[in-house]
Amino acid sequence: MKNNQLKDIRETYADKFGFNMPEQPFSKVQKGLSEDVIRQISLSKGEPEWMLDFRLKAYEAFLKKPMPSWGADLSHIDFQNIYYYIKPGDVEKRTWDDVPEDVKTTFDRLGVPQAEREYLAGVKAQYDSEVVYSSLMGELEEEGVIFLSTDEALRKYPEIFKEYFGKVIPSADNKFAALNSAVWSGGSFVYIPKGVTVKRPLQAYFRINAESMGQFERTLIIAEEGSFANYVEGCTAPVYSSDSLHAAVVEVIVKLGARFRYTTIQNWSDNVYNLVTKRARVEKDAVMEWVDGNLGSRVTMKYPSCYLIGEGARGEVLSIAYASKGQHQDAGAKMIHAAPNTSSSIVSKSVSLRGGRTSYRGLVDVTLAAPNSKSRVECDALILDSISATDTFPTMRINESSANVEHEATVSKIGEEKLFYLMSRGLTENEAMGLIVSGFIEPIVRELPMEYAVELNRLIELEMEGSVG
Amino acid sequence: MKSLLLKREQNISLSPAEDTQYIYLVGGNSAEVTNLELNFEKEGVTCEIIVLGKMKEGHSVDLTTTSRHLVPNTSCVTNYYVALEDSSSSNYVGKIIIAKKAFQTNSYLNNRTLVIGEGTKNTTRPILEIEADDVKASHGATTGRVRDDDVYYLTSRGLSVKEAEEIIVEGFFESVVAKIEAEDVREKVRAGVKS
Repeated sequence: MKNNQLKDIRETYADKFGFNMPEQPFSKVQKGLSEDVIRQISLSKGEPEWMLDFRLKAYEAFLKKPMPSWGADLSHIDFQNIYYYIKPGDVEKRTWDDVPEDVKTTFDRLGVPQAEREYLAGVKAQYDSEVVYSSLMGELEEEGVIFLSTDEALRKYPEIFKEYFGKVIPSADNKFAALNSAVWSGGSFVYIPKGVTVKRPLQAYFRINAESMGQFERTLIIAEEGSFANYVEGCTAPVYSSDSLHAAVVEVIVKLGARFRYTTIQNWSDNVYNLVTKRARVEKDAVMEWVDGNLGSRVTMKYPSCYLIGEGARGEVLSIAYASKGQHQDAGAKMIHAAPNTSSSIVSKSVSLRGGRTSYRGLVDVTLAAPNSKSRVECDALILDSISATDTFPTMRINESSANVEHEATVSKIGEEKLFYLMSRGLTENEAMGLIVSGFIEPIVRELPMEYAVELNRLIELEMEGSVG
Repeated sequence: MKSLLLKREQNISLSPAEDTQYIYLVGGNSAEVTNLELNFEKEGVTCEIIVLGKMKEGHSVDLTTTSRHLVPNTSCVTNYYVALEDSSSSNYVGKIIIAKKAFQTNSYLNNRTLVIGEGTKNTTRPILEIEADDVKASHGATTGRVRDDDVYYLTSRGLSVKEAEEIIVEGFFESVVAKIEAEDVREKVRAGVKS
């Protein structure tokens, strides 16, 4: 390994991706949050009346809801020091040639190869709050798959939109879901028609650019009966000087016999508060899978959940958390069994080093409506040094006598004998640790699309540099 | 190792000075929360916490165990074994806390809930809070019914369903009762979970 790689990953990021393209705000709503700001957002987007009402009601709920008293430290968030909406001067483009040069540069530095752009089904890129570039492949359109920015979907498909929007996660669900409901902007809307199988992953690249720019994207996914799709979102963010807030809401509806996988790789820079509400409604014989990788951010609080409301429904969560200096990854999963013969599984792997803290927080709730349900939870934590910490807070609430629920958790450090073995084969201590950590998270990494798996392994490798001394 | 059958009390906080098995029988109906806490303040001590009992119809147990490791080189195994009859409930919180300087700690928590009846409620929260790196800490928790296969096997040998279930429950407790080292305590506990 070269000497110049002996850096903290954040510095590496600054070199590689850390840049701020000059902003061209078209309409930059003033800092802070008020009813006026919300009206302005709604007006500038030309939204229907009901959406403005929805936003205003959510704002009321936001004001009433207390900050969560549990979990990570959120006391540094200053809601009045955040821009709630920025629309870049660029409007949505259909072809790559139309995309402005500086945006293209951003993508080049993100490392999205040209060939891949053309190959991938629909690369959606969130530059600031608005999707500036979107390409839908013809075959998707032919099959009736809708893959748009959420704002665009509201304009083009108001009926489907109104039917499902805010139904899985009500606006008053929690403080940050309420905030998102009040000021949401951007995000993806996916509609998979009955019986359609989308072979390639639907991908979205996210990126925050403006300083102190909160990202409040809103994703709504509807998988009709018997359909299949995999949605992938990955994030990289440049380095900022002040705290940034990311409070997304993701709603997924998986209908009869459908199967949907939602993959996230989150690598926000380490001043971002990532407070996301993700929830899926899983109907009869349907399968929902959340694959969730949390690598960056200062604080992450994210518990993807599945409401198993149809007989035979299944929910799965695969989660990786990686906490380094100054980071707290408070991640987990929730499984609500609300129908007979439902099953769920949660696998969580976390790694903490350089003073980072990882917490697993999860819930398995087997209600009276769910006889013969099964659930299995496995969480493993690896601590790499004496200044790091890890917690496990699982809850199993079993109100049905025929349920079968298993939970297992382990905490350990890297075994000396494993290191010794690898080093006796000629690896340096760093390389050996990197290899062991990669092996530890491998059960989840192998579920990722290849380019993400490669990227993740490279990140781990970089992180391990200089982690032992 | 010494075996000690703890008296029923609401708050039990102990700092073990020598290797000890602490046994606590649950049963009956108690609306109050019982806190059973071991604070490891002496190096080299190894302890076990064994909480067990059969919850009869309509009865409930609400219990929290904490093994708090404050100094290096201590070990603890916590076992919580409870069988639930009709409409009974169990609410259990099992904490393992390892402080920053408590390296070389070994702590394991094992929760088994066997459901015999209908309308049972069971909440389990096994918690790990780990501040040190050179440690081993883990927990496992399962909730499940008496398996039909097991009952069928025993009834095919001439036992009634009730007798079969009784034997299965006995075997369930025996896996932890057998670990009690002092014979008098072991016998007392064996009788306690049968009644």
